[in-house]
Amino acid sequence: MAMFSVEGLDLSIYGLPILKGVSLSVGEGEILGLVGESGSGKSMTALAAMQLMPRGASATGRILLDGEDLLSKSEVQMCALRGRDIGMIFQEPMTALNPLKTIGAQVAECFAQHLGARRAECMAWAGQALERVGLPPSRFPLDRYPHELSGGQRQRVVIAMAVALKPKLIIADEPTTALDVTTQAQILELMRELVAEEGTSLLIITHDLAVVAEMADRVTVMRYGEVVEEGTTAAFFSGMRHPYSKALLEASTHVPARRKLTAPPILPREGEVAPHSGDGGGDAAAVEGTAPSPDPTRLAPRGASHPPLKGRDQPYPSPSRGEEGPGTPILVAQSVVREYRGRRRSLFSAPEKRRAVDAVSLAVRPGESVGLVGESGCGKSTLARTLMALEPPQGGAVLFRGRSLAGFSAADLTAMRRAVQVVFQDPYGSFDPRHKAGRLVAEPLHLLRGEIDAAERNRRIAAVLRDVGLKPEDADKYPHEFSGGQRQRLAIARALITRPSLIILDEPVSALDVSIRAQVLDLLADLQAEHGLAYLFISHDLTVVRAITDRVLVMRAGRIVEEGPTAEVFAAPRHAYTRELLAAAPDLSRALAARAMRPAWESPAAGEVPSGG
Amino acid sequence: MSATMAPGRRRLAIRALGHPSFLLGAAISLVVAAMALLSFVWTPHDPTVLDIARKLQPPSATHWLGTDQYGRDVLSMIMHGAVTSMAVSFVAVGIGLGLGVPLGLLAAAQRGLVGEAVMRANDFVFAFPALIIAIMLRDIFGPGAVNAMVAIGIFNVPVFARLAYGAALPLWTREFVMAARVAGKGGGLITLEHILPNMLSLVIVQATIQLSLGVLAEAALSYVGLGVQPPAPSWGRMLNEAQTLMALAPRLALVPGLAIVVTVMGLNLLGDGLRDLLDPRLARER
Repeated sequence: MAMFSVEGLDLSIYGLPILKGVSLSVGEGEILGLVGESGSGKSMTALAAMQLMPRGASATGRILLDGEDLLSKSEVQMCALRGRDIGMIFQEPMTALNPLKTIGAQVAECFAQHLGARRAECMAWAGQALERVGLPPSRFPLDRYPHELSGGQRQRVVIAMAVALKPKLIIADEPTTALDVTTQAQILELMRELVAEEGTSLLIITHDLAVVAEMADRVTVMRYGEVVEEGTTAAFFSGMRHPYSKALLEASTHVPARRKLTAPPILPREGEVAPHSGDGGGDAAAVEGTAPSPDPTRLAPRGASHPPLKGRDQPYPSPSRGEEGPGTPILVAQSVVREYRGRRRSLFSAPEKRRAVDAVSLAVRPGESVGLVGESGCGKSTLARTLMALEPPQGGAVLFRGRSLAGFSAADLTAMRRAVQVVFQDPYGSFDPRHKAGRLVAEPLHLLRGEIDAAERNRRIAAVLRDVGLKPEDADKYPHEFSGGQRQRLAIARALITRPSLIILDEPVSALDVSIRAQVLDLLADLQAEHGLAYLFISHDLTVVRAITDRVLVMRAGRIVEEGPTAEVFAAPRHAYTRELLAAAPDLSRALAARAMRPAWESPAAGEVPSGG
Repeated sequence: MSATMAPGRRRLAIRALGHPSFLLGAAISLVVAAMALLSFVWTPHDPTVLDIARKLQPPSATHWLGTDQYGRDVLSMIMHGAVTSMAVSFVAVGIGLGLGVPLGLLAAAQRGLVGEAVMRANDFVFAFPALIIAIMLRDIFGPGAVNAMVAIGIFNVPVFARLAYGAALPLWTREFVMAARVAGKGGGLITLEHILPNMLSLVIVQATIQLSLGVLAEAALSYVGLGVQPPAPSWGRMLNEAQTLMALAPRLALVPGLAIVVTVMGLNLLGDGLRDLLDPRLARER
């Protein structure tokens, strides 16, 4: 008999149907993976089970936990149930804990709430609970506050709270989405272990098929509030029936078809020379040198193949023209150091310095696609801001077409900004909500002020919107009228509008659903081929970097630990950290191979307590 | 501004009609404002004419709120007092907005030494209550309505500067501001295009609250004789003059006191309502 089951659950909010006849079940000690993209209703299903639905929601159908219908329970009865019979693990460990209470007190609260035990007793139990999730009180005293812990450690505290009272069912809503890959692997393993030890049922909600393949015994796929497919994990991956499941699988393993450039682009880029084919390899040498020299192997048919430049496409008179060669990297970082002032230990001592970027060197050449991989906090975004001349380096230099940014005049900086544009991670935060799409996309045209008129401005807006697969009419919409994927297309359009030669992409797809992610990656590959763009692709996601870059740099704690052609680095990583990163990344085919080796529900590392995050 | 706010505007109007404290606050504020405006063209009697023969009369058909110890019509004085109150607090808020908001925005845009200097100077001004500033100004320029306006205005500057600084700082770290910087825009332009519009609702709400504090401060300054001078009527001085007659005619203290309380409450309700109406909209539009 199923420990937890949902039968024909319909849910609507203010009359708007959200869930339509959702049915699923989790057996005792079983792990069910609930898969779907944002808006599929998977989180709402979990909230309905906890009776934590938003205002205006009404649900019909049955939600059974151990034979009892949760929908018919009163709020008072649910309060007794939540935490005791159903544990919940949330996505965002930063916000799931109360910043004002110690971790011990927060875990102890579960015991106090449901068992009514004395404080000292609860604290003792809290210590045991934290020990079980790999935070032994000897190393992580109970009086620590959440901000003193890393993201992974906080998620362990959340897990400790969820499993504290040995609930019958644990619901984990995207438990590792906010975590780094190496941390993600540890947290998933911990959850698998705890579930196996206690025989608890686990409902794990995720958008990541690799996580499902690694964890789940059975899979249920949701889309638009309906269940479209379900089955055992092995059967699901070996023969999906529903087209949506297939699309999801194809999207998560998607590799964009990258056309290699052979001809120069139709449009000359701003101040650009002919692009070369993005062949990658062997560029590391230029990084070492103090001044990049023109590469004789890259004497592309410059000038000769260019059509004569007409009026509006006339590149600005580049101050660095004379030094430019076809192989000149667009952007070079030479031992760049970026430091932040930490806190002052005493009144008279100098404040501590924290090095976010430590002597990093890299070069991006025209038409090339360079990946920069690292976990959160490794300094990759700080490096990006330094490369964009948004923050000055404290050491080393950033060179644009062979000249250091340090000596740039305002005009030089304008020239550089025209050639180097950026796409940010958050498709919601990167647009001013009060402006229309047309104005937002045209913002970088500020760099061309006085050079183009209103008609040309509108032509360019229409052109870039078409380039990224939107309609010119979309210029009249506000950002909130676009979906996440469309907003990211807008962000790319904004970066394209000055016709740059390099775009720095800071985690451009990590906030997107898998199917949207695949589309945006395709778009980026197409645009690169069409316009001869160079990319600096910053990401924590190895699969994405592998799919779209020629050369990759691996960054850790502010330093580049490994670099080389993408294929080589991924096939034969030299540095231990790269190997760790690769091993930790959820990989669909590897997970499927691994699960074939082990019997269901049995943890490969049962009994072994992992080290604290 | 008006064009970009259009989509949310109708929804806002509908929600405003369903918000009781906003409606009540707006109604009170409008009545007080209407009373003040009306006093320019009509009052039941001339509030400056002394008529000792008709002193201390109870409310009647000719004197709706009665007369004071000099025979002046109380309703007319209240109406004229509303003008003083409103004028002083509006100008004071204007001074605070005009100086404080740009200073806060400048400090947020410049950070570093400029920002520190601006904000520390602010803290210095913040240490002086309006009453102290008014006493200092009186010693230099003598008492008067302008004195009160400037004193309360100076008191308002750091309030708005801190608000603007605090609201602008997180906006400066947002990605859309980074995108504007990548587009080559400077601090001034970004402030005008992105920072100011996105914090405007906060400023509007604070301005309403400061308006009510201005009414209160004006009454306090007039009460101690630092505000508008006789014979111009003022609620604060009416209170002062009624003080000695509390046992004889408590009505004389009660009426201006109620006028102050109701006005301050109305403006506060209006501010609270505006905050409720404007804030969630900002959150949703993200």
